Amino acid sequence: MKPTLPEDHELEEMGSKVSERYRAGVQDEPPTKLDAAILAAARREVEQSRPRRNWQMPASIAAMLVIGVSLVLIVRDNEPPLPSLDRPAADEAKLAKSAPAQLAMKTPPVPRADFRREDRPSRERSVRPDREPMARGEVAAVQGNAVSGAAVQPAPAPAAPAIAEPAKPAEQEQARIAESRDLSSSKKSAAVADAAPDTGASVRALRKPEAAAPAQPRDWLEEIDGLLREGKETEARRRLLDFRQQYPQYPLPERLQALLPPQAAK
Amino acid sequence: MVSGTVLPARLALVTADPVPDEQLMMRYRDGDAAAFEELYGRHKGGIFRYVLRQVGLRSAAEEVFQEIWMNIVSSRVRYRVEARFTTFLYHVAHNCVIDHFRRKTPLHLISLDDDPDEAIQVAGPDRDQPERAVALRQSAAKLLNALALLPPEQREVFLLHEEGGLTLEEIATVTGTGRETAKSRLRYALAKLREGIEHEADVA
Repeated sequence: MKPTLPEDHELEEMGSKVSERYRAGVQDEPPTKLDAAILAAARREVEQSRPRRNWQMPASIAAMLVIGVSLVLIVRDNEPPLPSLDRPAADEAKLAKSAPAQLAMKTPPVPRADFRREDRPSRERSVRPDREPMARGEVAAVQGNAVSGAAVQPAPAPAAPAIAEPAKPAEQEQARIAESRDLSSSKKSAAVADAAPDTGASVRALRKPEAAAPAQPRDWLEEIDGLLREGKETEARRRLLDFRQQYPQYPLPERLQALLPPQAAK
Repeated sequence: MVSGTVLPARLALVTADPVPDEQLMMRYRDGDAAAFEELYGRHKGGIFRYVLRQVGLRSAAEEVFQEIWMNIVSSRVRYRVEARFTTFLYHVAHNCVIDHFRRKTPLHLISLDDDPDEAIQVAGPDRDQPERAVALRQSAAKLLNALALLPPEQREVFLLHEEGGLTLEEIATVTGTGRETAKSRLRYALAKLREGIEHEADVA
């Protein structure tokens, strides 16, 4: 407590009297309130730094996991429809127009989208064998995507002919008819979509009645009826066989069933 | 007769060596609040007087005093035993006093002027001797006046020596000077204070 070196003893002796007076005279101390405040702060500091048993953290992690898994499940069940279905009609028309007629004919007709399953993933829809045929505009859109190499692949039909196979004259004619119809319907849709402020919603609203319009199989059957009326029975049979290959479940009128061989008429 | 008998636990505690300050601070660093209370009890008076004699006003001294201990509390996690705890404590106090003077113009007042009843407390045995107590009170007042008249550097060195019990090396460390400088300042301070006491005695 005092200077330690020998030469400091002089200082010690010198200061002893002063030190004695100083120590004996006054004893200033901090006020008790200040003592209590400082000690309380010191205790608080220790308590704050102590690792507390924290149950909020595991609970919050568990809650986040539950919410996350639930969201993933919900999103997976309600995945949005194909991008081509939401595409404006003008784009569809452009795609359909740019697609060569031969390719449009060679691509197998895709069954019509099921309204109840419209929100299903495209992968799920493409593997369903018992679906209904797709609307004509949607066929063109899917074909357009197939031609342009879009991510959405056309649904592989059971008896789809090879693309490299040369197009038959009747099929070319049918493709031309389908293309012209697609164009006209797409133009109408595009005009309405341009006029409407909410393009996506209005186009979707217009597309539903279009999907309910007479489907391609019916046109196909009308075409076969026309061939029969013109006396082209061989051509009509061949077309009917093609039709049955494409739509094995589609109910045929009795007059057409008679044209088919027994095993195909079922 | 205590010899040959087992010492009571209470007496054994009294005779046992006190826990070093450094160990108490380490215990406080590790979360023992009681160790801090022990440490605070040992040093609160010295630190308070060290601050009060330099700052002058009691209210300002309390403010600086609190700041010093809050610094000790908040720096506990970084505490390493590199020197005596007293050196560390008075180093913090020295810095806080300097900060105080930077914030305000120093007032060379002593506690006697602030609150005489609180500032001057005569030691216990002298209270029974009124004449002696009065004499000591007057002597202490003169000494404190002489202390207040010292240059700040000499006053601080004297207070570090008296209140903190620091060696010349430790004083040099705290004040950031050389040992010889500290020694010189202390010598001058003691000489002036002794002169003041003797002058007072001559006058009396």
